[in-house]
Amino acid sequence: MKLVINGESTEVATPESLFDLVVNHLQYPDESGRYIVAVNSELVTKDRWTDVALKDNDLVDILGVITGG
Amino acid sequence: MANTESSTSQLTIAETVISSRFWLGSSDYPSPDIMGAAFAAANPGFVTVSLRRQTAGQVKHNDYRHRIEEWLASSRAKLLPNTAGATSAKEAIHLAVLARELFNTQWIKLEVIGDDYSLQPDVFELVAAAKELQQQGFSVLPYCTDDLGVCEKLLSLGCPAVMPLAAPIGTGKGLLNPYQFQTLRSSLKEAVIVIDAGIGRPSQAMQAMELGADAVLLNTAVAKSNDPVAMASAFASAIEAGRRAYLAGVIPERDRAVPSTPNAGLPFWHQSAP
Repeated sequence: MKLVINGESTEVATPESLFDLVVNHLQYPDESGRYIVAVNSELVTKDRWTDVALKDNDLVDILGVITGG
Repeated sequence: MANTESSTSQLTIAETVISSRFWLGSSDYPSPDIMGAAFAAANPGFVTVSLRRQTAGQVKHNDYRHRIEEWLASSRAKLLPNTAGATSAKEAIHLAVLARELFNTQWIKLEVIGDDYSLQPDVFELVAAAKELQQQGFSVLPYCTDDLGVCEKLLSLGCPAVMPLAAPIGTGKGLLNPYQFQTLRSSLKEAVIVIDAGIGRPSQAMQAMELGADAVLLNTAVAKSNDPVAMASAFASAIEAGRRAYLAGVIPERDRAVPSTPNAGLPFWHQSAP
């Protein structure tokens, strides 16, 4: 399926859930507090990742901590 | 620094005691170690951070995040996420909601940039975002202009402080309009006013504090100096000195010279010529 991950159009094997995409396919650590995920510009808290199924052309943003002023 | 002040002059925002009047950004340091050492020298009340898209590798190997978390665990500083990069209320609200989840805090430094060249805030979008975020339970600290009407509006929406810029971000020009800042201070006696952006040297921070700023937030002046640790210490001293001077009461300026040593009692005082 085609997803837009962090702004880039990406072909991925259809994941079972958002959790499957982020942790298994994309290899982000399975830990809370280090990054957050939004789908189509809506925050999805980690406790819901296994409940969220993705569809073609969904926008998936994965954001972490950076320094700032 | 914070412990040297009496409890009556403690800085409290949104019913939370803020441990220091020096707030420091985390960006642009030569290394995580130097950033951590600068935090130790500054002992800031807030440390500002932000959020961006990251790859799995960037999430796993984030030395700056690690050092910031270490500092927070060993100090009384609080995290202040920002909405830097937002150019509309919608974008700022989106970033704020994501930041609250990532950083587990209701504090947000609300930035809505209105002009790419000067980085001045879009106050109309800023007010709209502040209204929505206050309703969502955030403690909104808005980066704003020094316009009295704008600051009054932000405070009326429930913002627990306002943060007018001293000068454009990163310019180091200091308080460009001290007259207007004094107008804000005298008009908004009970408000927490934080000078945010444009401070380049400790004397400029001290001037803002002498004029009644409740705190100073800066980043570049420390991080881009030749020695960020020494500069952080210099700013900490200046901000404390400025606060003490404000509390002590600075004398009004005069146009005429006035002798500080009395003339009365001079051996030739009012003496007629023989």
